[in-house]
Amino acid sequence: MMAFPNGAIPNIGGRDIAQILAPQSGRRQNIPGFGEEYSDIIDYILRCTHRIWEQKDVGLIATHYAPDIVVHMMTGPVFGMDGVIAGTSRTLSAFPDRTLTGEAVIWSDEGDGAYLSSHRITSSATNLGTSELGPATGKRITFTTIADCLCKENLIIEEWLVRDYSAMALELGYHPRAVARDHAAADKATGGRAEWRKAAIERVLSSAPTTFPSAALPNPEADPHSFAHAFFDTIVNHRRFGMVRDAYSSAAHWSGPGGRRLFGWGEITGWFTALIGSFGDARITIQHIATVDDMIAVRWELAGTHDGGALYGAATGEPIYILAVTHWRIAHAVIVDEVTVFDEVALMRQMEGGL
Amino acid sequence: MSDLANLEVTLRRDRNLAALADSHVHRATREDSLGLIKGRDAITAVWVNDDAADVIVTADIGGMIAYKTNGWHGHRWVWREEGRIVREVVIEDRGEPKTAVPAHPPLGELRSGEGQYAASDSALLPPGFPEDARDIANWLHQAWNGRAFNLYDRKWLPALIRQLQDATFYFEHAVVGETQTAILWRMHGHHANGQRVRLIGSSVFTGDTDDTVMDHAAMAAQMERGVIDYGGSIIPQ
Repeated sequence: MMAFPNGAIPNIGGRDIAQILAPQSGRRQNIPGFGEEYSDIIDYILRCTHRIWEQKDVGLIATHYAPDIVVHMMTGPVFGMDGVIAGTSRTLSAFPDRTLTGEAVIWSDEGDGAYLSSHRITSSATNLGTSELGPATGKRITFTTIADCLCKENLIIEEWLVRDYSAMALELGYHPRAVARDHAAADKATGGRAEWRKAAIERVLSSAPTTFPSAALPNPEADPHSFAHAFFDTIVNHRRFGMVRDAYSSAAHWSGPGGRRLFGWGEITGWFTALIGSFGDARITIQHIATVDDMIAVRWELAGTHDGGALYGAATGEPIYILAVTHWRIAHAVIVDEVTVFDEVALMRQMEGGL
Repeated sequence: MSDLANLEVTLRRDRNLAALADSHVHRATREDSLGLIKGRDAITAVWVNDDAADVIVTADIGGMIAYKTNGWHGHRWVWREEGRIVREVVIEDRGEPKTAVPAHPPLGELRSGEGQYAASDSALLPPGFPEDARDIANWLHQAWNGRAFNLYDRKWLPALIRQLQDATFYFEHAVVGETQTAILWRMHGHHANGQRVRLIGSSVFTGDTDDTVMDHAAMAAQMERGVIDYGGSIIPQ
């Protein structure tokens, strides 16, 4: 049995949707200020998602989001609850039958009654209206989103939202690069590079380098936080791609942006090699780590220069910024399943001179 | 018969697709050699495409079954949470042409970190692989990855390797029954046109004989599939 904390709160595993959304019998967790209909932080996240998105009670955002919320995305921050309501309404207009299947809620106690929930969602939806990717196509698509929500007293007070927009574009029949090019053209027409993006790139690239990591990776079951830090520092920042064989099961499954699905050491090593083959000076910093049961959630940022053609076409020399969330499932002290999500359309938009 | 075998009969012969509401959790996944679909509704939609047919279950070993129907073979592997299926891997060799959607360019090598070494004597097995299935996996590794065709005299093996010369086999999972052992494996290899073919295969061993299934139509489809090019050219889905 793993030594992760928080195991007493029932997660999604093993429960059907009817069980998850059935009325719960009282509080299972001390969540001061949250609505009485919510038993614990997982119940809060899953139930309010269902109410707002699937039951279309979008107005509940007013009682579940702070008025001054900031939602961080790769396309920039959105400020205020009204922006959340507008964005939700636009997405529901484009995909009115969207279902949001919770795959995992990996949470942490942030103290003072606040909780961080890293909520991985598989969405299925029919594109019946104009979306940010283009005109309605009538196609039914499936895509992955991870919403990291900082919650306190029934309100989401800050959110980091990553979505696999390139997979959405491909499924809809749009070319992600063409969409990115259009978005970048609109950016260039309205002014220079965004200040938030410059600051984010500077923040990541100015992080202090570590000494060369020669020790073995920590055991992710015994010390998931140390494992996560060592993983990204060793494999990405110090380019020790071969350590993939220490971190992952030889039969590990990996899902990533653009709907990529990889299997085993060779392909996963290939992903990290190609990432640095695209951004040769890239550095990664970790924003947040949460662990529950056998799962670890890591929110991370990457900054660098598009100086190689491994993943995204010919080098453009543009500075780039990535905001990503990775979910791991651990068994036998190695990663057996990974889901990493970031917005490749926003990434290629930067390569086209946008944002 | 196991619950899984009964479910196969219920779905395939009786066409009681409502049974999926009890057998699978809502977020169940179904994977085959052409991709992965998510959700019980999507899995139900796949079943809708089949007509009613008799089915004979030829192996029933805990989390996997082998079956024959409509003149072709299939294997189904399942993983459960609290009794309900949360993941299934399906290998069916139906003999009907298939189409593969465009894929991203392949990443990485097939034999991770092995360089110029020959195939080792022992298979690379994931943690948790059943102890009682290791001898069979090691034997298959020598025959398949080591190209010791004398150890495994089946025509499909050299035929496949002639098409995908660097074909590499990975052993993912196994279940051991009283008289049978089943192994779930994957094969990655490159066609002469540069396409990476990624197949899921399954073998049930009864003594020295095996029932091995892979999706030949998926292999052919992958050899001809389009490539997603983020550099600019547009490949429609």
